[in-house]
Amino acid sequence: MLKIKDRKLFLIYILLIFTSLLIIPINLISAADLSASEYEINLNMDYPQEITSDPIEINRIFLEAENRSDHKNIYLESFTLNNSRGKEIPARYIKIETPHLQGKETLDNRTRYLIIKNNQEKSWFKIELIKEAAFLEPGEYTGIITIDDLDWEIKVTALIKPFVSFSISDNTFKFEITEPFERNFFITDDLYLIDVDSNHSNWEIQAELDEFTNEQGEKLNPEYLFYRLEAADRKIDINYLQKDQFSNFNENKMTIMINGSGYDQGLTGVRFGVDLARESTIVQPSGLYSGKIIFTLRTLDNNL
Amino acid sequence: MKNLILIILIFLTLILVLSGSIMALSQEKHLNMLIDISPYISLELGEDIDIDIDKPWQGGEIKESKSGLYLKTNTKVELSWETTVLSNAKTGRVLPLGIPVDFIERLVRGEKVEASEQAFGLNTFLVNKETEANNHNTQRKNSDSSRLDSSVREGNRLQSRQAYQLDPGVHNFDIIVQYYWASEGSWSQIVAGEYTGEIIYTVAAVEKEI
Repeated sequence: MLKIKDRKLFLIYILLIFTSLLIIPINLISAADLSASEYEINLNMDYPQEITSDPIEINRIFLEAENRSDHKNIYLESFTLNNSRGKEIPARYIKIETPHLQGKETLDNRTRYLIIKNNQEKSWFKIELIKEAAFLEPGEYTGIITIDDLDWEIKVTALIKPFVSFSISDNTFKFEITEPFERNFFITDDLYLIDVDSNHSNWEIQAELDEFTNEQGEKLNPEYLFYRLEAADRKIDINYLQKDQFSNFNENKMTIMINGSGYDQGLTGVRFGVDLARESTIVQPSGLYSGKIIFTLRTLDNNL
Repeated sequence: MKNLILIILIFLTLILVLSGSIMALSQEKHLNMLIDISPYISLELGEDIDIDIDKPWQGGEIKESKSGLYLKTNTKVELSWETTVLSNAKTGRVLPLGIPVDFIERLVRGEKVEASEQAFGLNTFLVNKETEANNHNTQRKNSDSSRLDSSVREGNRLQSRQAYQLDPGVHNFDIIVQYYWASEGSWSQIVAGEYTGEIIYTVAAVEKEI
């Protein structure tokens, strides 16, 4: 018999295990056991990676009783996967593998795939979603695989989950101002690129600035640092850019720098500007100011 | 208690190990940004200073002429200046600056000073316009920290008393030239004519201490 104290610990342990299982959505790749009465293949995709089903075994004994002894070739019909709005996963994103193919082949809607040769008793097939499928509209895509004379249909469910991830082109960005009295507002020649992989636009990237200080401890207030978003593939003559075409950062405040819909329109590059105009007799001292911009990507609606 | 800590540790380990498959709801990246502002000095000079002594026999008092010096710098600098000799291009004669600076300054302060045996003297100094705006020109105190003084060198030219250190900022100076000539005595030693010279400013960035 467990003591009361041990029992409490045991309960806590069980509770923690269950909680961890609930909050950790493990990528589930499963193929149904065809010996059961209901058969389905589930492919869950929550980031760009190829997902392959387990081998689905087909045996002549699964065929309709009157056709089992025919020993003819058994084929798998090509299939489509559609969501509730009728949107289809293009066939080029689906691959099929059987022992009779040379490796994996892209699904062709006009093809019937040989599964069991006339002299075979059993065989198998796999289906795969290539990683590019993760960029399709999130949702559940279903379809039916039919195999000649098979007693049942195989339901295929591909769940494409909303995902977003981002990377930055470089961890360090240097902005040189060689003639600080030439004008008041200085603009970077180069764009800083933010690379976002996503299958939806319900996200935003916030930016927060750490204080900029130089070697002498002098500060450059974040409010003097500006930015604007630009299409990376569009050449802009920065000589025509004005300060009022930029937005500025606020000290200790998150700034929503870019969002999914803007990014979808091609605004993927950030151009920085620094305002060196100061009041009265004050100037911004020279020096190498070092600071940090913290980009935080937030998914706005996880119930997509 | 130990068991509880162990369980919590197992729980945290599970989260860490399995979190690879979680698409985090928020992701964070850090960009180190460097803004390199070069040291820069901008210097603008005012108009030429003309001193016209059309009645050399009517001396005995301090007169003043001025020009400007606009200095903008984003780094610590040292400012110094010196004049060339004032010479007559036709004759090659050099204008002697025989009257010492302190003689002129004492006169400015209203002290009684015995007549100089010398004929002519100059005193030049810089004052910051912003801090000196309310002072009457000739009443400026040479103890004022905003005033950058000079002294006579070799009896014929002026040189700043030291290299003056200035902080980053905009420095809008008046350069004041106080001049005095004796109403009597040895004035006749100086041959009439036009004497010209230059004030040469030197602004040098001060090595920053890191």
